[in-house]
Amino acid sequence: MSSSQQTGGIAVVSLTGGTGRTTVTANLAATLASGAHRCTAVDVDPQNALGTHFGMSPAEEAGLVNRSGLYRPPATSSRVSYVPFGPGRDVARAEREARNDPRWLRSRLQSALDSTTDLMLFDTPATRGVWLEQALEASDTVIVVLRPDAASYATLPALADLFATFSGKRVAYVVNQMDSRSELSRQVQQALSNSLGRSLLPITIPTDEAVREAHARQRTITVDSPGSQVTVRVRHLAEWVTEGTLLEAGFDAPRMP
Amino acid sequence: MAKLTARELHSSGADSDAQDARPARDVQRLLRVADARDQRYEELHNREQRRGAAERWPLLKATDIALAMRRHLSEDER
Repeated sequence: MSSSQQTGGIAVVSLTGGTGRTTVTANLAATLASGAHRCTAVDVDPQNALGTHFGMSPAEEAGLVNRSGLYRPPATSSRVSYVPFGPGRDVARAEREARNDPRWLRSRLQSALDSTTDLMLFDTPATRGVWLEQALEASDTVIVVLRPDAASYATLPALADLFATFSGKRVAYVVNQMDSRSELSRQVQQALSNSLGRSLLPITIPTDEAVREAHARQRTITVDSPGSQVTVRVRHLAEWVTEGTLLEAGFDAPRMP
Repeated sequence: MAKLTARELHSSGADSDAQDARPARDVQRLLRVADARDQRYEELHNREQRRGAAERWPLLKATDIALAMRRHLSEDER
């Protein structure tokens, strides 16, 4: 993509914890970066956990909220550039700035990312607030990560409210950590399909211990276990997202089985 | 999709050379009726499946009610 074209922003969202949102963001970023895209993963969640998938030390000082500068490490083993959120002591000041400027995140990144970045993936907090809203403001595409459980299902009304406020985005939902042996999981997936229709992507990411093992090795599963079903499904998600984002295919035209 | 019963096909003339004179529009009409019937069946089937899960898991049911209320309010606003 040439520098004259706008960088696509993709927010990865959920309104309950434990859905695997950060892991999906990291794996999706790694998959996109392994293809033709210059992808930067941006941690917009004060938990500051995204970078740990890419080899970042928990003691890392630099980040989005750090006034002294963003941290853009060179290509890691997964070839992903990433921006950590930054240390906790800088959060209050940055939060004040962000509350006063709805485009704070966009401006902050614009000055830091080079013109070859064509995709930005935002990891977001699980609560509605200034950081989630900043990420949505900077995104044209939203991926909602749901677990096939009642807690995720119960967030659908709040998600609908959220997207009524931030309208005009392409919104797609994906089920993560699916255990097809569980009857409850199957029933929730069916209920999600009935409620969301074609907004629920026909790509389900299975539960797999290898995901947690890859994280413990500070790697994405796409690098650590390239033949796994999770890697395959994330690749499908990446293909679909890329078409939706760059080719304006629209989120109502899924093509994956 | 299987749309027509054998009786419907027979009475429509679609399977009978002897009744070729029957207007093609009768066949089209029957196909449309069958399409609508199949679609309705599918909707009911999905609704039943969903109701089954919702009855079993109260949090799903409560969420369905909240979504329905939200839709209702949105329609009112429009």
